[in-house]
Amino acid sequence: MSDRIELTEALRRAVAADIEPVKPLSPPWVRILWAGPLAVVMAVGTLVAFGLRSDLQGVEVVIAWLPMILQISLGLAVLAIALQETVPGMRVAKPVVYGVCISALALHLAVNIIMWLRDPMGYEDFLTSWWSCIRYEILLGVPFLAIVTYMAGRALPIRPRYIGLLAGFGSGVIADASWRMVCPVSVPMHFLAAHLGGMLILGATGYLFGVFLERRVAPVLDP
Amino acid sequence: MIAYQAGELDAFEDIFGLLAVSVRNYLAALTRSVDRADDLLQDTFFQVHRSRHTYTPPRPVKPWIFGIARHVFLMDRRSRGRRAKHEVLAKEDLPELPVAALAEDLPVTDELRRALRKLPEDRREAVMLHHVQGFTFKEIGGILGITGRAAKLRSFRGIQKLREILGQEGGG
Repeated sequence: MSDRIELTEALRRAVAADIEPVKPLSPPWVRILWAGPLAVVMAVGTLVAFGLRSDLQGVEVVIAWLPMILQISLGLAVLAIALQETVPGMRVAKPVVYGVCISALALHLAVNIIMWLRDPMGYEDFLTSWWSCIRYEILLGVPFLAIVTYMAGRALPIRPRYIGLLAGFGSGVIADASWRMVCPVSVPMHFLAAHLGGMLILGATGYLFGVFLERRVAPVLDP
Repeated sequence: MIAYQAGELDAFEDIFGLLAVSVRNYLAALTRSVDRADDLLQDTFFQVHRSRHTYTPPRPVKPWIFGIARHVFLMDRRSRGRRAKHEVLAKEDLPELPVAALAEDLPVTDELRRALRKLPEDRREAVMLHHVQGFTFKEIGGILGITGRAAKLRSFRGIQKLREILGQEGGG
């Protein structure tokens, strides 16, 4: 095997044809900074439009607002991991990814179970309450999913379906942080089917979008 | 790399000149075919060019380029389906793997090459990246998406298995 490999003419031509200066991407944690203010605006907007759920009024800060802040932070962390996965050589170790995702799920379940134990509130009609919640969860999550997917597409998504899944799930976690503060129904059947369901649907949407991206034909080097 | 991002073609050629051989060795270890490695090498540097904005100074360039090489390999493997796993290669097609760090302990280069081919892919990759390419375990973790500790374990087990295979071949 030779000690030196010559650049082929095809590669030299392709590079020379497109050698204009580029601006390096900012690190993922910088690129995700826009999402923090957007999450706060969405949360405040949702609360102004729909009002705080009745069983949270007068409840101590630790139970009412702290989990919301934590949930938004974990959602942002998941989105940052999704963006980090688009930078070659900087992939995040699986235990870290699983740890953040499981923490977000555990927090969601713990807060909802606490609210249910404190003040169980059911629904008149399961489907009506399910539909009214899941659509808002999805609506609130879609902007995050769309922006992160766009940003991931501009970098180098090495495993698009995995990145899409993370982007969708992170968006769902952030969306749920806002909508959970509005929805007064606390029975497990509802928060599992509508709220957790919303997160999972967003995750599945991101995953499917990733599959679509994977199947796109990548540009090839002209011989 | 900064000069390359600023639009200097010579800088790209310098990077290619410095890293092409080691990237090809890595691709040859992944594909077990020098011809395929040569093709993928061109694709890798084409992808490097298309993705040059994803490099953030002052990070090391080498793990970034190896991350792209791995991506190109996985894309190629995906498009070829599972056929590549069952490819039977002639001896002259086998990759020439320089295993400098192991050379003192291990007897014959051909034997070593055969033994490396028998390693499971994840272990072979860790052995290659650490012992041949000189990456730290943390850098390998960044390329493969695993912890530094898991990278170390894969490399350690790879070396153990390598010794075991060579011992069997030497004894039998």
